[in-house]
Amino acid sequence: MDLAPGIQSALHPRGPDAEAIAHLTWILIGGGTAILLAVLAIAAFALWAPLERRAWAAKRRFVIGSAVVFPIVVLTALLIYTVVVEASIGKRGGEPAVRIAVIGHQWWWRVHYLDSQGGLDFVTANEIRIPAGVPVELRLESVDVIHSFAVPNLAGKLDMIPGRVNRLRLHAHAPGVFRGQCTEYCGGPHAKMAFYVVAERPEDFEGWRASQRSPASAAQDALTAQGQALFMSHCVTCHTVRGTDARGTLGPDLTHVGSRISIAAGILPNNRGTLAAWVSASQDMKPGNLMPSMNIFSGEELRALAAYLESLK
Amino acid sequence: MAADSGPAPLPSSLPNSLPRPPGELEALRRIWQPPRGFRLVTAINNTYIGVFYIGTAFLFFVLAGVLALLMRTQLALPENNFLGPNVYNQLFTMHGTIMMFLFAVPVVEAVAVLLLPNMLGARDLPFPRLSAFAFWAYFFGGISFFCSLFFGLAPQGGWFMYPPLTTTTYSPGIAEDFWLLGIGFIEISAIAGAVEIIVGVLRTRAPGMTLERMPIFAWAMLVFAVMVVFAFPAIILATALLELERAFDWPFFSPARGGDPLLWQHLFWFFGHPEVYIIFLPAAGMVSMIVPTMAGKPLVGYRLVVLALIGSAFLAFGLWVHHMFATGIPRLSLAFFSAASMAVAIPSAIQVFSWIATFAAGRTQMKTPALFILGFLFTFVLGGLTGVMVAVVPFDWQAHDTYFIVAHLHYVLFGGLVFPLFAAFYYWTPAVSRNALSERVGRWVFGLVFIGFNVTFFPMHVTGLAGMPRRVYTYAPGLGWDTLNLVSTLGAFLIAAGVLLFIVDVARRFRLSFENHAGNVWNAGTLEWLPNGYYANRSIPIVTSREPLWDQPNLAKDVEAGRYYLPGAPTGGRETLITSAIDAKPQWILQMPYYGWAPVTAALFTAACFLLLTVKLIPAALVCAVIAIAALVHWAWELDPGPSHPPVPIGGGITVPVYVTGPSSQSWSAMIVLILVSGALFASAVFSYLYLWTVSPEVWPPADALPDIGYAGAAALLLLLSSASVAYASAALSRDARGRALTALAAGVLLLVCASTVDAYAVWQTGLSPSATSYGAIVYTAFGLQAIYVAVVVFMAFYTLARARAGLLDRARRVTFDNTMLLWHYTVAQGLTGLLLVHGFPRFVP
Amino acid sequence: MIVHTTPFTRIALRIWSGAIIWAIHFTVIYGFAALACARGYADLKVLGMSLVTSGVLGATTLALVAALAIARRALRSGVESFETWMTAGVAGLASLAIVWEGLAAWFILPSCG
Repeated sequence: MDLAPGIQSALHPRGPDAEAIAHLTWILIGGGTAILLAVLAIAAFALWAPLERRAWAAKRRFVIGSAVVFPIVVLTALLIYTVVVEASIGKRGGEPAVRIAVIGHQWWWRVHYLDSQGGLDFVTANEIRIPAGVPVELRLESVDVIHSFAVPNLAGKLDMIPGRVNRLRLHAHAPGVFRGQCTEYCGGPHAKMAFYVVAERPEDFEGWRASQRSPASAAQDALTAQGQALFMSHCVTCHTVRGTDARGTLGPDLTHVGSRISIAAGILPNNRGTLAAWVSASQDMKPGNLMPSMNIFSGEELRALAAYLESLK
Repeated sequence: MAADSGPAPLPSSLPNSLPRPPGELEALRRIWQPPRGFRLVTAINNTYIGVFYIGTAFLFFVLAGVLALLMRTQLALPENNFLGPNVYNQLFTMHGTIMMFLFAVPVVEAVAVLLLPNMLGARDLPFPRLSAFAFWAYFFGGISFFCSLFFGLAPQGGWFMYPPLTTTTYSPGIAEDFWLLGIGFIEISAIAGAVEIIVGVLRTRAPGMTLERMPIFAWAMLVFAVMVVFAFPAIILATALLELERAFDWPFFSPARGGDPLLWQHLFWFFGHPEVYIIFLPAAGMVSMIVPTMAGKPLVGYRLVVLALIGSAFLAFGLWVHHMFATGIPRLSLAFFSAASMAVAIPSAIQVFSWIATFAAGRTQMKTPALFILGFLFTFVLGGLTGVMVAVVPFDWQAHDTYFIVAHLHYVLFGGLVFPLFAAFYYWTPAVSRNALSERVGRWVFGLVFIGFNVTFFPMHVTGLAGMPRRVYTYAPGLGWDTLNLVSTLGAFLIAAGVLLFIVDVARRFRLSFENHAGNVWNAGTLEWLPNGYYANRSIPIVTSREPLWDQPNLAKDVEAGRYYLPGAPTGGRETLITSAIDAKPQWILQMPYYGWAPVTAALFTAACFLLLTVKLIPAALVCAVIAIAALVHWAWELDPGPSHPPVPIGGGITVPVYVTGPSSQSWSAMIVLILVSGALFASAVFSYLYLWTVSPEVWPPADALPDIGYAGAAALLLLLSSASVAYASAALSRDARGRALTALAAGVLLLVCASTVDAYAVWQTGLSPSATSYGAIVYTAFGLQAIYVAVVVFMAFYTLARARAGLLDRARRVTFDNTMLLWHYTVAQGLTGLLLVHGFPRFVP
Repeated sequence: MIVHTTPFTRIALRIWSGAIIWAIHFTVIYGFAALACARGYADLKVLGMSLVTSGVLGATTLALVAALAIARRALRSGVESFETWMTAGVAGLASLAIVWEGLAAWFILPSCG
């Protein structure tokens, strides 16, 4: 996973909606700073200029002019401008190219890619890949408490509220990796509920989508076979690996977990070491999360398990 | 009244002449003598209660500040392991809850309790024992709530406690119930404070202090109190609904059974947004008192500032959804709130520029209070500007729930409350303490706190826009947040150093003194700077200007010599003068109580009852409830003394009664305020019903599943008859037909109880279950609310009958009856509205 | 039962009259928009505009006329008096808020999305 300054920043827009908001932000920052400096200058003048020179600032007319007339002018303009921007967000680009349902759980993201009729295409978790250059529609839901979906590089945030479906448009100009996080306190390790949005060239995205639809690849060697056996005997209550007997839905779908750039909802890079660490000590990495620390494997077993998970590309 | 036309001329001679009779002053001092030693806990004098209140609120400020230091220590480094999520989540929940509920609202009430009577020229607040009760309830309740931290039982839901996270499914155990307990106390305190302040500001002003001559702080507190009346009931209802869901599984917030998590957010923020103006406007009022003194000139634009206070108050009620811009509510609705949020900037701007203009008019003494005012101006204006930024919906979609909001809220709350509060401490200490606070140390405190504050919170604007969410116990390294967080942590310790220095200075120099305080060191112009005693002012002055000490020569001397009204205690007890609401003409004398054990006892056992309920020790809780009610009844029994004394002269040829009944009575006014609170509470319940109907029409019954309309008709008729019965009783009482009056009252009780029984039966016999759907839940809630009012009215009726039996109720002595009657008619109106809603609405609307 | 209003109550209500108009307007436009979006009839066409837009603009016009009338009447009585000055001021501020809130309906289309 790529942690770098700016990949979760509203000031580094990477799509049209985020850009519209960033543009607005700079105007607000500029205007706000100018007004603050003006008020400070007037206050300093009122306090320390020679008494005769500041008599005009001691009049009611000055108060009305600066506190009523000036704000009415500025705020009317601001209101109209910002309401127009508000109306335009999420409305560009025509029909969305892909529809994805993202369902918030305590403390991970279930992701359902939808087909053109709105039915289920395939299931994944904690990572959302989208084609660059076209709008994508997310349907945001929650099964437990209120979460919020925020990927500042691309869009403003939108809450995931049980009982409702909120729709958010994402649109990345160009391929890239963008980080997001849950931004509505959801208890426990809320701080560790993150995700990545990966925008790819449309042809790469199609390739990814096709491979995601396919069931898991079979174990290739003795180590991964051992890992698969361990997985089947310990992990199937909660996890699904399509193409095997693992059909648990309490936790994230792991059919192609090896293809993701992060694990544990965006908080760890994805490699054998972190996979092993997560399995055996998830409570240390993300205290309170709903997967118990499976500290029951020997070192060799862990290596096998991690190798198996890594092979699920 | 002419606008700003300068002081009016005094009457040609002062009301009372010299020399004053011997022993008059000694009697006054003796009568107002407070209790000594440990029995100081029974004191009810507003100066003592005010100081206790401010001290307790400041204690909570420091405690919540320590929690913040712990949080900042954890956040100083990414992936830090100083605190885990369990502890951290309790800390941020408690920090916010304590600051908002146990510090911010109480401290502004406390300053009002301490200063308002003196500022208005009154001897005390109109209901001193009520203030004492409110303070002690807050003290015991707040301390027990804070102690939940030491047992690992502190709530973890965030200070705004959104369900479903805070329902028992996701927050089992009693920690969240502790939050509901803690809030219950501030609800009592705030409503009691509101009653006190409205009646105090409108009816106990010095003669001649018309509304236009009232100090701005008094206006600010009046506006505060009216806002509390309309805002707090929403959170009272919300907390009740959440507790009902937690305790009995009534699904207000559970979508599977027709509930909606957003119902909580609407109720909470309908309270929550006015809450921040409830906190800010009194602080602005303090600033409006301090700036003219520091500049040596009257406030420029008095009427504009009053308009700004009134304008902020009503607009504040139209902003609440700006806390919900990211919830998916329709865009047009969001835009209404965006527009209103911008509109509210104008009254704030009016106040800021009035202060600047006042500075421009004079030569400002750059003492510590002025420094804190300047700090406030910078911080609050910056916070107000970021407020306009987040009022812009698309910008808020990025900033919401990030550290940008943490920055904004601290700039407006710390800037808008804490800086004025420090200014107020330095400014008013000489009026209540033997020594002023140190100027030299004050400058250091200011420097440390101001620089520390900006170092802590300014970077958070950047941290938030760089993507760091709120309420996170740690964060990933390398996202551009690391240095910013470290800097913020260092700033927090600077603030702590400043506060510590302040505490040291207060400990060294503050010595409470009624009679030997440091004096009018700033040469201020308002009445709280008159020479004082336990009795406040020796005589109650006539006021002819907004700055009486500036414009009325010899005022202080003449007041102290007893030349003005009421220089002694003509009834032999504690008194203050009641004046008319608009022109402040003397009307009657209010006889006031002595100190006693009832308020503190009632408060202690009320707090104990709630605490025991929270830990589910029900029998013990009931025992405490009984004791608390006994203390309250004992206290109440001394009220309504009747015309025990003939009218007394107060000076200037004026003789006034010492007891009145009817709309002029302070008791009647207090009941009206309570009725407004009740109306707002019921309106919140009606809103909840209509809201749930809007979002979950599928759980609403069709017209034929409702109870037969005959039930509603019968209940309505019984309610109306009970009202008629009480009206008859009132008329009979004024004709001195006591027997008939009491019979009618008893009949009214029967009718009222029958009405409720019919209503209950009507709903119950349909088989409606309160836990099956949100419809059932809200119907039973509406009924429950009505039942509580019926129970209270019935209790008051029996109490009234008991008074009559004891010979304490008759044609002239009927305040007890009138209070019962007022609440009765309200309860009937509430009941009728409830019947219309529950039985009528689903029939009229498809 | 006859409700007694003291001079204070009458004067307070008069001063607040502009604010009361604002509050009623706000409740109506917010409630109406919310209900229409929740029940799905927001986009019915009235006078070439959506139901919500026309409803909001209609309510805004009425409220603005009422608030401005209050302000004008108070100004006519002369603003030396505290009561008329405050009545006019409150009504003026309320009018501004009413206009800004109504303005939104002109620009946010469709209303519910």
